[in-house]
Amino acid sequence: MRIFYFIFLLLLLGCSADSTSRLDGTWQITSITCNGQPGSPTGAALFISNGWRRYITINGSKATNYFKSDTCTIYIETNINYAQNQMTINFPTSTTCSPAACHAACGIIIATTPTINFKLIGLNKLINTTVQGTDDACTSGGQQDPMVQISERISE
Amino acid sequence: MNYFKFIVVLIFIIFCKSLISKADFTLGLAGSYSTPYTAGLSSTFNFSPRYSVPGAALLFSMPVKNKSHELELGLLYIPRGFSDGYSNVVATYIQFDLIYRFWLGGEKNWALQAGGYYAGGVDIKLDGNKILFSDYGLKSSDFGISAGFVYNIKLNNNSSIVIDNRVSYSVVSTAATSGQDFWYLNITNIIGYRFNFDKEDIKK
Repeated sequence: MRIFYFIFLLLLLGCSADSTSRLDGTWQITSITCNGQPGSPTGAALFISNGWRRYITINGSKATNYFKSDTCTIYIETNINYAQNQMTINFPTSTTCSPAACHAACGIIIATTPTINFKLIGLNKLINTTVQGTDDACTSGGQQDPMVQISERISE
Repeated sequence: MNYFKFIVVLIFIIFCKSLISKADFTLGLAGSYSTPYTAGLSSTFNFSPRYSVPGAALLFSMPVKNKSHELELGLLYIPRGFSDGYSNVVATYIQFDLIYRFWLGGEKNWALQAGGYYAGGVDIKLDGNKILFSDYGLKSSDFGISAGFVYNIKLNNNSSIVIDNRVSYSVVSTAATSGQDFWYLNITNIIGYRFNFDKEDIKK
């Protein structure tokens, strides 16, 4: 009989679910569409094509956006405010580059605070959709919002 | 993995065929109330259980030692429903249970049980849309341990209604990505009609 009590005890331990909605981890952006159209490779999709990769590393309310090629890394720190399944992104600083001035986008200020819906599909796929404000990525490339961005989780 | 499933099915068939003369046989409905839980991902998801449409259960129970102990092999077609905070998910499995049961008292009304299971994924649906297990980030198989109790309502010498409740845990993470953790906690309820094929019991 002891084995039954032991197993019951095991089964009663350690089951809980956290109710927060943070997206901690590193995500690689794999697809961008603008108003249903594929993101232009000279605009929205500039940094996920032609040898560039884009990552976002999220840690609570802090997130760092990385735009990487073999010869240049552009990054920018952001702050995220969460409200249910929405996030508002602030860009308090300008972009930084390594090595310095390796791209025309180094040192620019992103003057927008988009509000974005987010939804997880399973454990590792994140879908962001602009719902308020311009995201810049689509509009600066001559395309229309809403931007829909799909990311794959590459690490926690 | 397909070879593994084939072997499990083969063992199941051999087991049932060899024991059918003494085994009791239960046919019923099986529902599962599931809560996935995670370690590294726990801040990302807000998992909550959902009771899904019940599946089916086929159970073979064989007495061991004496009539107060029995070994049961179960084949369950069971949807596991839950919400991950973003979508309603129904992951359907074919599950093999191996259970050791101890009847309390001589009347076979109540029993405690414990054992293990192997579940092979059939399909997974997000908000009603079918996707692959890999699209959800899961392996299509799940191993675990289980324990529970049974209430048996005897109708006559060769049949009864069985109400079987099991709590089960995955013992290996079912996340497809190494380093991620995703385990199931399932509360499985089976209600079934049990046929007694043990000739000695029927004579009584």
